[in-house]
Amino acid sequence: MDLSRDDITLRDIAACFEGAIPAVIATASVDGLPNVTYLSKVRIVDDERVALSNQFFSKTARNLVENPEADVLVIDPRSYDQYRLHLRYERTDRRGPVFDRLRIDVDVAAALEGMQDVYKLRAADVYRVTDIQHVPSGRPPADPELLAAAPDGMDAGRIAELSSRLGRCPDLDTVVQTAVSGLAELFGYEHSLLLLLDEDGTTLFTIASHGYEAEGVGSEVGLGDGVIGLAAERCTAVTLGNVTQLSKYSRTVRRSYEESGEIGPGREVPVPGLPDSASRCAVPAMVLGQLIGVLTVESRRTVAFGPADEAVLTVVASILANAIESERARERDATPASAPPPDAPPTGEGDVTHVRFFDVDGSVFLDGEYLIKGVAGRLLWALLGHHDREGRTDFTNRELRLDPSLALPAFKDNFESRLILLKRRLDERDAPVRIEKTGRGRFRLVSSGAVRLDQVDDTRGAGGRLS
Amino acid sequence: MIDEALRAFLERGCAMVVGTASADGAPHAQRAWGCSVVGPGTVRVLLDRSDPVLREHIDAGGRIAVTSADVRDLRSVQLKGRVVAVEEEPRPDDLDRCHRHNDELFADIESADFFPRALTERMVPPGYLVAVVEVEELFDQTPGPGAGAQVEDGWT
Repeated sequence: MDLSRDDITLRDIAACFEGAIPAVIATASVDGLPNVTYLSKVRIVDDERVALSNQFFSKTARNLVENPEADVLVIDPRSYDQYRLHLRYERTDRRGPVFDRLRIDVDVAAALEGMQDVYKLRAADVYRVTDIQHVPSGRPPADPELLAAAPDGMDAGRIAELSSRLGRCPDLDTVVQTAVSGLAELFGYEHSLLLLLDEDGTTLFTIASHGYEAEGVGSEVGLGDGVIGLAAERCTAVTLGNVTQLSKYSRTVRRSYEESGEIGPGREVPVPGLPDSASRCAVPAMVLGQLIGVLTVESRRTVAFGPADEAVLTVVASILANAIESERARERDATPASAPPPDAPPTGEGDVTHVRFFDVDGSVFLDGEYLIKGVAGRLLWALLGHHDREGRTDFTNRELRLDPSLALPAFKDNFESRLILLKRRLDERDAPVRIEKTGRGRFRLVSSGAVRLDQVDDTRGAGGRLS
Repeated sequence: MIDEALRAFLERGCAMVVGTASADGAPHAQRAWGCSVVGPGTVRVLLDRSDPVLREHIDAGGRIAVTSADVRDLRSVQLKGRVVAVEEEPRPDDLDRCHRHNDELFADIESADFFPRALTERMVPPGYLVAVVEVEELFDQTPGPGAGAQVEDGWT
């Protein structure tokens, strides 16, 4: 961009408004006393206006009632070019599209630190931008290699290719793996997670991931928690280009609430993903108005994702949601075509694996290490029980779905997703017990050695969330 | 007014910004590049000498707001007062303070926010001047429900 231009537009400097670097705002009271403070985020409203969130009754807001002029400094995080915006206060919105857009920003910050009950947007202050100036730097422009490459954006050809690949997948396990690997191969999203909504509609669990040291299959996010949980709760795309800055801001605000006694010290919501993630985009996967899960990507680059990425991911998530629902329906309706195949030969003769099951929450531990809990844990326990009592290794989805010990809900039992979750979790852990698909609606339990079963039937609970 | 804890905070590599206003009330924001506490209510602040609007405001003996924020945890304080002197040429100890401040600031940004120095140093102005500020009020500016509260019992 030609920085000497005197007609710089808000669109030209859109990257400044992603919140990666706090903006600065100066106002003055009617008697000329200035006030200067940092702003976590400034949002573009249209070609001529910006909006600032108003969570607290600040001096800035009081000054603007008396004197509507404001001076704002923003920085482009890709180049550290600095811009000065002269603003004139126009109005305060307490509902409507501008308020809703800013409310998501505030809600994301709240969700990162579990402050949803106290940290809320009060109002959105809308300003007309009367002038934009580039602030000259005393240093030369940044090395182009330091500048982040712009995302490629929507490409119908690649969308079609991924859609075609998903359409050829024979089962749910292949669908979820093809989706995350296709996002990397075709679109360059090197770090992605696919989470599905659980039976109760309160928790999302990771079914597939790409680009992480640990696959994290089975890790959970509560509805409303963090970027992923918020995307699920609101059924809307949530994109953050400033994860580092926003996380820091949220921690500070939370500490401030703790000191004021408004909330007690509490959990920090663990967000699965890169420890040094700078950008994150989460989109809901929906079909027929129902949330199926959330597809999320992240990057170590600041402001890595934009509207084009949201569009790509929304399309992919929609294809995925349809594929998942279709596969679930097919599995539910599947009738074994013939008699079950003969049970597999006796399993291997490796070491004895100690399997410990906690009835209180369905947690399963293999040789003292947490594996999984809930429906998937109960399913594994049921399979191992059948194997132990009857020597069986081959099963059908239909018979397991009717097993009362799994405590499946009558409606929308999610059985296939839980079975895939269990299979992928056992594979990820390189467990001595595995599940192999043997046909539509059929699978086999394979063990590389003997297992010793141990049920803990009390209310002490066990296990925990994968991190 | 400025206790030892606050002095230590102000003199480290905080991100600093100043606000001034014209005679007719137009506000102006600018960055600042280090601060020395030289008395219980007096600070020397290094400012961008290339900013004509800032210069006009402080030359008029105008009021000034100075906000310092620790980029590692966003803890922030705002000083409000009046510019009682403007020194065209910073003293050697001012420049030493400025260089230490900038070094700490850019190192903190790099470790906390992952922006390399090659980028953040682009904020540095071509030259400095010093504003001597008599501080009249202090406010806690840390983000949260207590932001804007007057600092009366010391900076802890």
